[in-house]
Amino acid sequence: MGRGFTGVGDFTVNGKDVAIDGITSFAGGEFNQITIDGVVTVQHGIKANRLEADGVLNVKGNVLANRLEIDGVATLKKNLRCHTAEIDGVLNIKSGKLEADAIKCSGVIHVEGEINADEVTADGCISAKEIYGDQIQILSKPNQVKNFLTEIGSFLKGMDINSGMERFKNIQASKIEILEATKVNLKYVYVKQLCGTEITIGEGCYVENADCDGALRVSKYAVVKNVTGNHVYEELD
Amino acid sequence: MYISKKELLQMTGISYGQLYRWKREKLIPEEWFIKKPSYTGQETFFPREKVLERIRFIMEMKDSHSLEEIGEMLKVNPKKQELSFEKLLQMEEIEPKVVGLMEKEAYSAIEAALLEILSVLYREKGASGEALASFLEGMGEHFLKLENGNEMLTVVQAEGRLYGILHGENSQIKTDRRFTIAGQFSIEQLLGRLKQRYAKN
Repeated sequence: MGRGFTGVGDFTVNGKDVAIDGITSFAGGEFNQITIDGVVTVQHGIKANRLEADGVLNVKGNVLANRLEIDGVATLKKNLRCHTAEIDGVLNIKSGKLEADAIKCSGVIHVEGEINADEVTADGCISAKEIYGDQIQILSKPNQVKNFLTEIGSFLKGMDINSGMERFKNIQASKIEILEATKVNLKYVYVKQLCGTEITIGEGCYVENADCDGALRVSKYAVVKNVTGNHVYEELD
Repeated sequence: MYISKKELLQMTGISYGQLYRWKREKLIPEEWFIKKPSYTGQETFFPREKVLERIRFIMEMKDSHSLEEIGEMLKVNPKKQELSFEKLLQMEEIEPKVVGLMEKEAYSAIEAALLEILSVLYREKGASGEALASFLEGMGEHFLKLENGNEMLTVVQAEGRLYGILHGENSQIKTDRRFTIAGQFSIEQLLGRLKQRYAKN
């Protein structure tokens, strides 16, 4: 089978392109393009111009890719660095960080460590310990209670909402401990500590601490517990 | 000694995006991002002088060079003999009289850093040629063996003589009170500055 592959499956290796459809494991290495449709475990790291995973991909080492597309489920044990990442499936990084110029996410990204990217554009879910970058847009959707915010919208306005806030805390689809970026736009995201210059906290967000030097826009259907910084504040409908 | 991230952004006018892009491109070392707990959760601090100098350098170079090129400029190989005697003499930070103590055809960055330290001791502390030669004899060998820049050199003075102590950047030293501290030098900072000077020339 070459290239240290073991397992059951069909392989197409064209020069430095490799397509895997089956159940297998291989050592890793440097490729032009890797396409994965099966269930694949990579024992070490991968370096590829283009990495596409439609199946299940487990990588034990670092991943370095120019372009990464995940439509299936990818679990990485170490770091991922790429120019662009498009995640329509699930990307799970267990103990490393994700560094990219641009990340698009319609699926789910879970990173135990740090995400550092110029641009994050997500309408899926992202959970990460830390996200740092230039323009971070995470417009998630409520994951537990449909239209919950609309129903309690009036309840949230100017009332003692402590008990409501606790419920509110659990509807966010995306959860981030620290988010720092020049421009931030969020919906249905829980953030413990948010810092930025131009911040929009949309409906369904729950932010513990927001520090903004610039423009801060907050939906009336969001909760921001503590606000600091020199900013112009605007409430959004 | 340290500067908070917020103060750094305000002082330099750079954005969060730029700061973290430069971190990603390894222009600002990851170990300079020092995370400390705060009442809101966590705050990041930086070694003040180092980060301000690095940002000034990046800002100066970024319009004429790509980030990759700037990254290459900042990579220091302290042992590579890449600096000619003539070029060394052109550097205003290095005193020509001091270069005479270590005359060679070509110099490594670590040798140039040592000559810069000797120049500071000569100019600012009035150290004599004899004291510098003796210091070079006693300390030079250890200094030139440094593999990386994560150390400090503290120079102490007693009865006109100079003595060197190499120690970790974050470790404090206490000396016999008969010594006076003539200077403290971060090797990483000296090497970084030298590299930046090559880049500009």
